[in-house]
Amino acid sequence: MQADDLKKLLEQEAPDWERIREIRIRAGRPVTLVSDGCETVLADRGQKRTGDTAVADGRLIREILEIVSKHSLYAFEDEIRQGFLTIEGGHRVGICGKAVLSGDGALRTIKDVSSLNIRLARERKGCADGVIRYLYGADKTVCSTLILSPPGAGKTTLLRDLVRQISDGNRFGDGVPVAVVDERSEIAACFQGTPQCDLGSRTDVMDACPKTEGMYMMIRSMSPRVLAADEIGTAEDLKALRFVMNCGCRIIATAHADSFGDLERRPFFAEMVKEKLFSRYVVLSKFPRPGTTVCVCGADGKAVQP
Amino acid sequence: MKYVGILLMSGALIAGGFLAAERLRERLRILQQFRQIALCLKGQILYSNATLPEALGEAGARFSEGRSGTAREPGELLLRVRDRLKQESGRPFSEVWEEELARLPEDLPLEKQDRQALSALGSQLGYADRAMQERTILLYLEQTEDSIRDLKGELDGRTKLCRCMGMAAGLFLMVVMA
Repeated sequence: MQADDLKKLLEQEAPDWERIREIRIRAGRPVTLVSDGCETVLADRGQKRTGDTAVADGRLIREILEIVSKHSLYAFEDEIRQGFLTIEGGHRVGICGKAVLSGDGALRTIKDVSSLNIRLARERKGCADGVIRYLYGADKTVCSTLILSPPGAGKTTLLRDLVRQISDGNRFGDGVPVAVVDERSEIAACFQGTPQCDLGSRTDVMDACPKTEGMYMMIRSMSPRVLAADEIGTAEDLKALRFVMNCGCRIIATAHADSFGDLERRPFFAEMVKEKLFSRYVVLSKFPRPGTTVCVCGADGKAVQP
Repeated sequence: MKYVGILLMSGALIAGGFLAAERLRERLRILQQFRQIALCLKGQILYSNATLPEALGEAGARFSEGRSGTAREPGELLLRVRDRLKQESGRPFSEVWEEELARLPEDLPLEKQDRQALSALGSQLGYADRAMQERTILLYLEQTEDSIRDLKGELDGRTKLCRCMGMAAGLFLMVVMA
C-alpha cells in the first residue's frame, strides 16, 4: 500500500473524521483508527488478497516518514531520539522500530521503523469553559494551574484553550500577556513562525525551544503575566518553575498523572505540591471521552468551589 | 550578392567562435552560482536545521530574484523542486531532483560532469543525519571547486582558442569562397 492509497481510504472509509484521535500503522497489520476510546479497523473494500482490511507494509511506513519529515529526517534527529516527531498542525507521530545506540549507550536514532502512531491534534475552542471559572482568584488574577491526566486525555487541548481565553480575556478576568514555551510545537502548532492554532491576541510563542531555557528567556524578554508549558516533569523544570513564580508570573502547565494522589506519590511532584507552587490542579480523564474533567483541586488537593 | 553571402557566413563563423568563448565564461558563472547555492543550503540545513523544502525555497528565492536568463536557472531549479515536493510529498526527494535536473534547458552551459555532480548531490540529500548532509554538500563543493579551478586555469587559453578558431574559420571560408 502507498501513502496515496491510505489517504484515499481514509477519505472514503473513515466514519467520522472529526472524532478520530489516532491513526495506528503497524507493518503487516491492519491500519486502525482510534476515536473517543473505541478502535476501528480501516476497511479496504477493493482489497482482495488481505480480506477487507487495509494492511500496512514497510513501504507505506517509509513513505509516511518521508512525508511527515518533508524528506528531511535529519531535521528531526532530536525528536526521533525521543520517539516521536511533531509535524505541521501540531500532530504528533510516534515512531517505533529498532533502536540504534551510540558508544556510551545513549539512543542515537531509530531505524527499521515498524510502527507509527499518528496522534491528531485538535483545537477545540471552548473546551475550557467548564473549568476556567475555578482558575481565577478573588482578585481576578489567574491561579497557577497544573493540568493532570494520563496520555491522550486532552491536556494539551485544554491548555491551548485556556491560553486563548486568558490571553483574550473572559468573563472571569481581563486579558493578560501570556507566554507559551512550546517545546514540541504542539500547543501553537507554529508553521514558519506563525501559530496555526488560535492562542489569543496577547500571546507570545517561543517555538521548539527546550522548556527550561524557554521559560527563562520568556520571563526576561516578554514580561508575561502568565506562562504556559506542556508536560513538565524534570528537576530542571522545577527550578525554572520556581524562577518564574518568583518573578510574579503565574504558570499554566500540564503533567502526566492519574490523580492528585498519584502526583503526591512521586518525588519530583511531591516536592512541588509541598511547596504549593500550583494553587489549582485540573484532573482530566479519557472516559467517557477525552477531555472529561474529573475534578478541580486546590493546593491542598481538596475540590475547589468557583 | 555572392560577396554579401560570403561576408555573412564568415561573420557567422567568427561570431560562433566568440559565442563558444562566452559559453565557457557562462559555465564558470553558473558553477560559481551552484557553489554559492550549496553553501547557502549548508547554512540552512546545519545552522537553521531547515527541512529540504524550506532550505530549497530560501536558497532558490535568493538566487533567482533579480536575475534573468541562464543566471536565473539554478535558483529556479531549487524552487521547482520545492514546489514538486509539496505537491508530490510521497515521492523520494532524489527522484524529483533527478527529474527536474533533466528538465534544465539544453543550452545551459553545463558539462556532463557538472550535471553528474548535481545528480549525486540530490541522490544523497535528505538521507540519514545532519552529518551526512554536511558531508554530501562538502563533497559537492569539493567537486565544484575542482571544476571551477580547472576552468579558470584554462579559461583564457580556451577563450582565445575559440575566438581564433572562429576567426580563422571565417577567413578560411572567405578565401575559399572568394
